[in-house]
Amino acid sequence: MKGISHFISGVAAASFFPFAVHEAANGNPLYFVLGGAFGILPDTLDFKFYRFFYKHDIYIEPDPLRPDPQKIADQLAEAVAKAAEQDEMVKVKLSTIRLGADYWQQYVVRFDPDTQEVLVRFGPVVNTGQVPVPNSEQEENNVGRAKLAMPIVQTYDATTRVDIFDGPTFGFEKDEQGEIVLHFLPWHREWSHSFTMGALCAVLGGLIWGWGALFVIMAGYSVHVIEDQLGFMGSNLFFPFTKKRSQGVHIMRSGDALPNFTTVWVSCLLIFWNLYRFTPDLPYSFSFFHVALYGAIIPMGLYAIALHILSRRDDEEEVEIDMADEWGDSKMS
Amino acid sequence: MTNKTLPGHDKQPDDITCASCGRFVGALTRCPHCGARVHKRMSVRACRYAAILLGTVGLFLLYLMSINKDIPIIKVSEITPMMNFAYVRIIGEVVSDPRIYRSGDRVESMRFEVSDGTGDIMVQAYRDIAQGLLAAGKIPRMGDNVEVIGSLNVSEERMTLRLQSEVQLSINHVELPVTSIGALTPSTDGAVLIEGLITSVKEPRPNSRAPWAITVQDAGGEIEVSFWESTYADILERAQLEAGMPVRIRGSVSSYKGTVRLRLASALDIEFPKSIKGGDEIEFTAPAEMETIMIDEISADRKGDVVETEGQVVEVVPPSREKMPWNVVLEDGDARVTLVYWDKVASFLQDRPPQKGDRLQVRGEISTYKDEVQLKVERADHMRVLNRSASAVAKPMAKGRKTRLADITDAMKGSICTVTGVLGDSRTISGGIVYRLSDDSSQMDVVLWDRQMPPGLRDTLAPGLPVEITGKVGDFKGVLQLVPRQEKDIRILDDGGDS
Amino acid sequence: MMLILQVFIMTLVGTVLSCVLACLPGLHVYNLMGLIVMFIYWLAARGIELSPESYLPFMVGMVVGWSILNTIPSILLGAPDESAIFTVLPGQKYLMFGRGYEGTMITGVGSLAGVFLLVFIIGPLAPKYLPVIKKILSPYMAFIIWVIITYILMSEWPKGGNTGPAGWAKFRDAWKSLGAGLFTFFLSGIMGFILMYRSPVSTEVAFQNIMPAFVGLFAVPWCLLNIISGADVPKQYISKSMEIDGAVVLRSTAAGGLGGGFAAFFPVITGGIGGLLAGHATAQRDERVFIMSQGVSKVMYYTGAFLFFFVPGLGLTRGGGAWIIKGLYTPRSFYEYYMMLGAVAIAGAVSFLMMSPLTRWVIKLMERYNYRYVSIGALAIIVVLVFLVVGGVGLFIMIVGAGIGLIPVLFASRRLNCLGILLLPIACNMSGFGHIIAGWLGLL
Repeated sequence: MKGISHFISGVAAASFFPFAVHEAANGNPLYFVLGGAFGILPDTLDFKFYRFFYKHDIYIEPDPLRPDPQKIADQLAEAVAKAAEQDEMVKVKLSTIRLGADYWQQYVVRFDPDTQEVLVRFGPVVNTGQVPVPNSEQEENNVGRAKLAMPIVQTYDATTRVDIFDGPTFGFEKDEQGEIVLHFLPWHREWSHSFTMGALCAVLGGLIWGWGALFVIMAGYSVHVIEDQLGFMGSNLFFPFTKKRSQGVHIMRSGDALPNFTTVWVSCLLIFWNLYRFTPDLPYSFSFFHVALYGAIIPMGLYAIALHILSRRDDEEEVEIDMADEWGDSKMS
Repeated sequence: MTNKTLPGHDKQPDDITCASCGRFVGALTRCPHCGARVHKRMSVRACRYAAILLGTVGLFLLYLMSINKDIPIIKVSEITPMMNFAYVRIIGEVVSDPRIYRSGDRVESMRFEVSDGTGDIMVQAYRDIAQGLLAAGKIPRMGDNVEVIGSLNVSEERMTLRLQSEVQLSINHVELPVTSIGALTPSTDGAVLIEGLITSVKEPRPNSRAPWAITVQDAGGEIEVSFWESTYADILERAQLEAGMPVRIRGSVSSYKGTVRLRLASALDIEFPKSIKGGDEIEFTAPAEMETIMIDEISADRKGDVVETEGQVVEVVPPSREKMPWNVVLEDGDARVTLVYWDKVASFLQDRPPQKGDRLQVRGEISTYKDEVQLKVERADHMRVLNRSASAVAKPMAKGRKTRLADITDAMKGSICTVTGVLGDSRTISGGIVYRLSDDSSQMDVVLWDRQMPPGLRDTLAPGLPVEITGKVGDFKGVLQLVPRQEKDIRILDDGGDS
Repeated sequence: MMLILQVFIMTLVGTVLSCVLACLPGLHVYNLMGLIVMFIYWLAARGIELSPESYLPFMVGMVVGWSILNTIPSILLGAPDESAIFTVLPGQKYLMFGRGYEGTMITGVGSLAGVFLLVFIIGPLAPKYLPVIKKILSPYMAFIIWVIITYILMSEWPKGGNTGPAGWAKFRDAWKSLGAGLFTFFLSGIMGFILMYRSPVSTEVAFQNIMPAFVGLFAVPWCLLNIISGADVPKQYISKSMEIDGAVVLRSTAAGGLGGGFAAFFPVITGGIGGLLAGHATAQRDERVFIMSQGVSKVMYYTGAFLFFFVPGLGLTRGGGAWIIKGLYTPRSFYEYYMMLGAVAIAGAVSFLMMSPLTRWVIKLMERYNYRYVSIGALAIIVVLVFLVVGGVGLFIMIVGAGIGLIPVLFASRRLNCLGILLLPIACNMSGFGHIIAGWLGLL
């Protein structure tokens, strides 16, 4: 899920603790801030710290002056062959190709388990907003293809697009069936996305801010870990007792609009409801059903109906601006 | 990659590509591809550091400028809406009693009006700042001269000055001469100071929003003084608020249906001197003797009647939870009636709470609750112990009897106890100091009032000191505390356990 | 009838005036409103009293017109106000591909949708529901602000550290922009404390205390960069249609309405923050929705905050416009509320109708004059305005603000960090320790 969804979920988790609400009413925001901060912390640890220290075995850095898709495909195939020969995971970093202050060469990597091949296709030049520069796509020699030494098992998307800022990381690891398991971003959702790390943070927080912080931090952190199980990647739930990332339940993708918005909105309603029920002497009386009815069911229902009516005649494909990075932030700052 | 030149690249400056390998390097000064040093034109790098320099140094200069700027003194009449948010100083006289707004135990705000001769302005302090003012005893009184600094908030309808810190209020308390109550008229303006004896205390009914009203008498006459429950709660020596006690009150005069009254704005405006000038000359009228009826005459038919009766206490049931009343079962022969009263009455019973075996004379209103007839007692002085039971007298909470802190209960409120323990941390309150006393069983606050204890005593007391303290059990906001009355009530013990 | 005519005419005058002035880069409606209020006081001091039916619709027209038409300099001249800094990136893409007119008009359609949302949905519902929400949330405003500060600071994405081997060098490169962002927030927060506790601005114009700082933080850096970089803008095409449909409008209205509405209702939260939160929360992938939602958000923020001031029984003063008008007028009944709602509707319609011709006019201006000269002109206007309203000390504050505002621009961090000027001191005050920090700084 996106950062804001995790963050607000952590805040919502904090709102279930009456002491947090009571302190907030007295002007002390500590517990809510802790809920939100630790709700987003697992991703912060990965994306702002850990990934810069994560060592890769192979760095694939295409030459901006002579970018060659076949060379990238060959290097990836070599990495797979290396993984087939050893028990350790082979970690490969794919770099982006920066052509200028605002231009990047886009390319797509695809592992095909059926043909046991890796394909690399060069797309258009895009700007930092990922908008293609017209007529910038090569018409010839834009696809590289290499045979893989062993069959590959996909655990994430079939294709990976590389364009702006930082490129992705792949981990190739041989499994017991003699296949190579493809791990996408092996540095992500490892130790940082475990309940044990959450517990450690909670204990440290508890020592610093008191027992209330312990519960709030654990709740905020756990909500993040649980939410991440809804996607494709899962996480290493009980590091260091478990060694591998669990498989997500594949309900959603981290950048999907609907689940993210639903999470944010439901969290807001829960926060509102908790503030209401923990505030003494309010002149109003309503139930959670009222909150849900007026805050979600009626407006969302009307919106859905209106959208359905307006979209009926429109079958055109949307022009996407892909904000699929974990934070959806690339064009926001 | 396309061989065409990308839009804008034809005009791209040279210093963003590596001169050695030709790849894009952006703002980097060393090419990440070939390691060659890339020379930049000064302007780009200079801009970055110039911005940081400008931001930080400029901010520091702005800071110096601000803190060295005198805060202007302005006249109220000169304030215009364009001065909204201005940070100003106003010097004037307080012309209204300060009002303190609370939400539960929390102080929400304090406000009072100040006049500088050209106009009036409301001064407001919110939450922590108001709380800080209260804690520091910085509560202005009508007639005081003040200097206030704050930010202006001007709207079409009113203007206010908002205090941003408790240090921004300076008060020069103006001592008022004592005015004879007989000299007070509805046209008396501003604040006055009276001295006299309390002749009656009228407590508001439980859960009522009515104010407290006490009647004060001096040689010139008597006057009713009213104040709100919140003010009552702030009166530290409220145990002395009873008929016959000398009192000094500062308040503002108001009139209701032609009768002159005095309004007390703050708990600091009431003092309980040991004696008052001319106090002996005041003819104090004691409450009339009660007329007794038999308990068996009390029935539901007389619901609403205020009656007096007498009987033996056979049972005392403290409240089981907050806001529940005390229940005292009174027996006379075969007849029984239950007296009910709330904590407010209980807190006034002091050292004479009814106890099992006592002979009690009581006045109250006949009422029914769940079909049971009961007598509702509204005031502490409507209950009089005629004959204290022998068992009650022999109880360990009798004056001077040593007890452990854990054994002190709500039922002992008003009684005198002696406790041996060790002083803990102290905190200063308005008019005194509070020590945390602990023994091996529990902890309790000990309140030492400045007016009851000599000034040097504070210097001899310190955390960790073993002491034996004799005092009255009271409570403040539901928490029990021990209040010694004089210096000799506190004995400092040596290691052997005695001084 | 005469009264209605008077309201109509004054709305029209205010709208047309602000629409034209909105095209000037760097000029903020609150600065103009401040000048107008000063003029009204000047008249009052000479015995000329204007009726509320004259200046209130005029002010509404100003706010609505500006919030809709300011898109033009935001997209075409790259001079956004604080609330438009998110529109600019996608908007400038339209500009660089010669589709600046279309980008502007798409945002304009969003603004019109925002006016519809205000008049037909928020307007009727606000008096009934907003007081309830306010009553429940008002004890908790402090934590809401702190939570938003935390999110702003934690959600910024490292811009560097993309190449090279793992290690500290890569980490340092990545954290350069993040560090600059945090430093900007800290500096602007300190500046906020100074200006709120001990502003050197003269007490006579204290109501514009923060204005020079805002101009310095947001407007001046853009002008300076435009002057320095002197980018060439490609030829702009005037398209006859827009690449949008009803579904896009609906989705934009929902996203922008949430962000702008949030910013209008909560204290200190500006349109920029509302836009950021809405953009993240709704995870819009369609660039058209993104641009249009920012148009909705801007109208919701500026006009909504101003309108909420007049909602009977709400007692909410949000946004610079409401604070400026508060000294002049106190709303009392539904009379003003309906008058303001009507004025919003009229102003919205007029502003949108003026959008196309004014966009064409600015495009012609751009073709005739060098972009760099336009930026120099804008900077000159800003400097003169600050000097006129606040005086020499205002210019000094503006320069300091510009120094701080340039840091995120030059280090590629979020310009939103400059909002520390409001967020930090007010959040500290709400939590009850603002005066303690001010005391540490020696400001008391």
